[in-house]
Amino acid sequence: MKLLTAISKNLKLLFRNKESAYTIVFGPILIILLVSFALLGSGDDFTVRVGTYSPQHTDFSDRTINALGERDYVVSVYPDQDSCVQSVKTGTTHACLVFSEREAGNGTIPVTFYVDLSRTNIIYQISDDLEGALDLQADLIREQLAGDALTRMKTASALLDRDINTTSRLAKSLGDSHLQLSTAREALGSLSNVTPNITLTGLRGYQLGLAQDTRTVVEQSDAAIEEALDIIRQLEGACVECEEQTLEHAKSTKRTLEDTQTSIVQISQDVTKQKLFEADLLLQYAIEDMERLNSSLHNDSIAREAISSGVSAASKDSERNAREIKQVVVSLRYTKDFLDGQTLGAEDISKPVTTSLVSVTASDDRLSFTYPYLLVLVIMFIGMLLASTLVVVDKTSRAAFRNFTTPTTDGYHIAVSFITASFLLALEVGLILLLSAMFVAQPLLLNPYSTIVIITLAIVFFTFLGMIIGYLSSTQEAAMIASITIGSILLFVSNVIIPVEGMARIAQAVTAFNPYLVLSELLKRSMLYGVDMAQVSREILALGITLLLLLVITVLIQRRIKSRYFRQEGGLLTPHVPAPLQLGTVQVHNEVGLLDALDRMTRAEFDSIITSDDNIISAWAAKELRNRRLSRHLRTTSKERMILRLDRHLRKHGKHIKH
Amino acid sequence: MGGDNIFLVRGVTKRYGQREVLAGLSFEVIKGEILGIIGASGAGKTSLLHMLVGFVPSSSGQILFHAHTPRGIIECDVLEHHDLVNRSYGFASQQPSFYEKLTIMENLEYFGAMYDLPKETIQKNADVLLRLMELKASAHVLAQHLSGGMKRRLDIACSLIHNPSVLILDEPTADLDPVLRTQIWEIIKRINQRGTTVILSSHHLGELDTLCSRIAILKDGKLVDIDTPATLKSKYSRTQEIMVESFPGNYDSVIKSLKADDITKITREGTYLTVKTETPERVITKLLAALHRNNESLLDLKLIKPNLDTVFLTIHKTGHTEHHETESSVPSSHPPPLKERVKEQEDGKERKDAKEHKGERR
Repeated sequence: MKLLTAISKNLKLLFRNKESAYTIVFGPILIILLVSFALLGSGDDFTVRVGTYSPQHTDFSDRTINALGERDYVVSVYPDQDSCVQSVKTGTTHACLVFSEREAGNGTIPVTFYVDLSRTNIIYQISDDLEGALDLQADLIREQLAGDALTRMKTASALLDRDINTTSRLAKSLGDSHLQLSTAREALGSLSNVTPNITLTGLRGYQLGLAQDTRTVVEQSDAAIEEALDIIRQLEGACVECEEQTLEHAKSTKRTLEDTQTSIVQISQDVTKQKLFEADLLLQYAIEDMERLNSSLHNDSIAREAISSGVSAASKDSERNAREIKQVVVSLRYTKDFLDGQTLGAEDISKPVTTSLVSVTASDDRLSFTYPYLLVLVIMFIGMLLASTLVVVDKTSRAAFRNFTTPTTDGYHIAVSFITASFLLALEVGLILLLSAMFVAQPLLLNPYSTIVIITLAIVFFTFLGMIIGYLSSTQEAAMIASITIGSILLFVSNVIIPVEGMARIAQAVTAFNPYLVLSELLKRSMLYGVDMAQVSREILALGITLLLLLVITVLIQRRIKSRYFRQEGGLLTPHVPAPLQLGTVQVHNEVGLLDALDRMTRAEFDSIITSDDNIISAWAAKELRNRRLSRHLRTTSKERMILRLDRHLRKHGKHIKH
Repeated sequence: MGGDNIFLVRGVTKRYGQREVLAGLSFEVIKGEILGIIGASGAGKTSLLHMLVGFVPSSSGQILFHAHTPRGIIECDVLEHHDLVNRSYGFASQQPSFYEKLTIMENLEYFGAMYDLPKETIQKNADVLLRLMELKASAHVLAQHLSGGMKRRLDIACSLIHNPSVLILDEPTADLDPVLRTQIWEIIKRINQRGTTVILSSHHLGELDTLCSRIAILKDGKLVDIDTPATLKSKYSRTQEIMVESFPGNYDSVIKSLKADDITKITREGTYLTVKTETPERVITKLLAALHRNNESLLDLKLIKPNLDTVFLTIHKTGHTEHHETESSVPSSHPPPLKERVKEQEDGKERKDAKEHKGERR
């Protein structure tokens, strides 16, 4: 009992606080309704927008583009690759297909998918789908490639046949050469083994010895004679006073010596002649030997000529054979190259179109391309929580009354709350950016001007939204629950969890107004793709207008709250007191009084008051009792029926009294 | 509007839907006075105070304010010259209104800045107020750590930081014990002595009696009367109470032997016998004689004169709802017979019960 009472107390506390009651009851229902609404019929309405670029119109690219169109893709053909890739960056298309020219080596066609990897929740689904579409168009290429391979094999076979014939002929030719060389070997065996032994060394030695001897004798004699002549000349010089006879004698001796000298020269010449004679004799012998040798050599020459002609024939054959072998080698090499030209593997033929996924972002790391979404998410939640908390704390503080009494305008209080919240938020975002710069590969301020403008817009937007939540909430807890609920809904119907493309068309149209989605997309384009302000000016203008609207709403709510505050302070927020209804002479204050008055009223009196055109009782129930249901029930011109209906109403609501 | 008036209220009515919160109020607030506003809960006291300074616009009628400006005194409508009026009054509501997480000094500085006062002026005013409110020692204490009385004093200090000519206090002593209430009344006196006009509402009528220059009485959104406490008491209640205690206390026989037409009511309350009369001097003599006849020894005798509580109760019992400034506002010198009064009392109770029942049912 105690436990039940305590639980009952908690439930009453929860449900008697309007905000928490609405959040608890309607929050989950709203989320389920939104998600159901978003996903309703989404299977049929999934729309993928594809951009294509092909440097030259090929059968494959044309057929693929047509096939994509038939599969309900929205296909846009771009004149160049850059504009196609740019369309992905700006979000116009989900993927850009670039068809390259067919590769010379393997004949496959490379197709590159340029995709936005930040759309992780959808991009792999799209790329798989596109690959499927491309695969269907690859049959033609597959047949073509298989045919090419077969043609090459047939051609190689013909070439090899030709080489086989050549090789057979070459084998025969080599046999003939072998025979000719055998004959030549036999001819070599018939050559004489005579070895001429002509020795001229003795003759030469003799001749040299003779000459040497002669020179020695002549020189010695000449030296001796010269010595003697010198002596005589000295004597002639020394004997100035010698007798004439002596001098004559010396002169005579001198002449004798000179004659001797001449004689010696003569003798040496004579001796040489002898020797030469003997040498001639020796030469004669040598000539005879040479003649014998010549005879022998002549015989050998005949044999050699026979061999030479044989070898020459074999040589010619060999030369021809070598040439033919070269031709065969060339032919085989050609055949090999021809076969090497067929580089297609089984995989190449079975999958002739090669696809590759390329990110349009500068960086490929996952954190970089999800960073804008995370940053706006942080701004959204912190902004709403911070601003709503600040407003509620200020609004519910004891000082709120005094703030209202000071000569400061409503706008001033709004501005103070806004500046405080947005300044703190900007500080936090700055800190986050600073820390993120260390971990995120992508340069965060690639496009500083528009990035800062978009971040500022996000801060301002969610601060205002938080302030509105704060003004509408009566407690801090309610403001926090409301902020988290709204943030969750905005997050849920954005691209982060469920891809927008996966939602129903009408839901997609609604999500276009989701500020979280719009700001995330803008920030992504600015941070990752460097899209400048001019390209997103329309969205920024729309956000600016929304901000103005939020400002007006904030001011209106703040004024209403101020007015309500003073009514509450004056104890004037009491339930509505209905004005009494004058029925003839009777004044009716409530349903019970009405029943009593009707009961006492005559039919004539009733008919004079109530007509089909003017039923003041029904009108009074709607306006003063604020009960439209009862008002509908009392729309009758029959007094009895009206009494019965009123009685039923009173019984139903436990207000019945016994008359 | 005379030069000595600071507010002039002319036929002010306030309606919320069908509900009339204030009905045709007309009166003036005199410069330098302490005007007390009394009335039952829901009589419209707070609404009147809010309307006086333009927080809430009136449905009809006009409230004029006598504002002191550098160019002299000008008369202005509180709704049309909101900024000028805002700078001229200080308002302390039922609940103290300041930031709990700021110190006393920080609160004064903040609210001073909200009035666009120069820093030097704020410091000067704060010093004066801290001394006046006896908060100097706690100037740098967080407001949340202050006692109830200190919080109330801080609230009044915040209301006076811009040195207003009028201080409006909505039940300034609510939830305070008698000692703290006395402190607050003393402070209000001191503030008034500095030349500030004070308008306040309170349930502690006895304390207003000695404090206020004039009292305005509201009932069901209507101004029943506005006058000095003494006049009001003389207007609405001449009955005085004589309380006697005797031994052995056989009061039944005393009552039987007491024959006097000028006795309004006799009741027995504990060991006391209470006799209400408009001629106490004659009744006391008769009462003492009766005690003597019945062998009662006198232990105690008190004469209680009428006060604002009595006036208030009288007004609520007798159903006065209209105030006519031109009439003497003096009720009949002869109250109705006792039987009729008892009947009226019973009728009043029945009406109250029926009203409560109606409220519950709704």
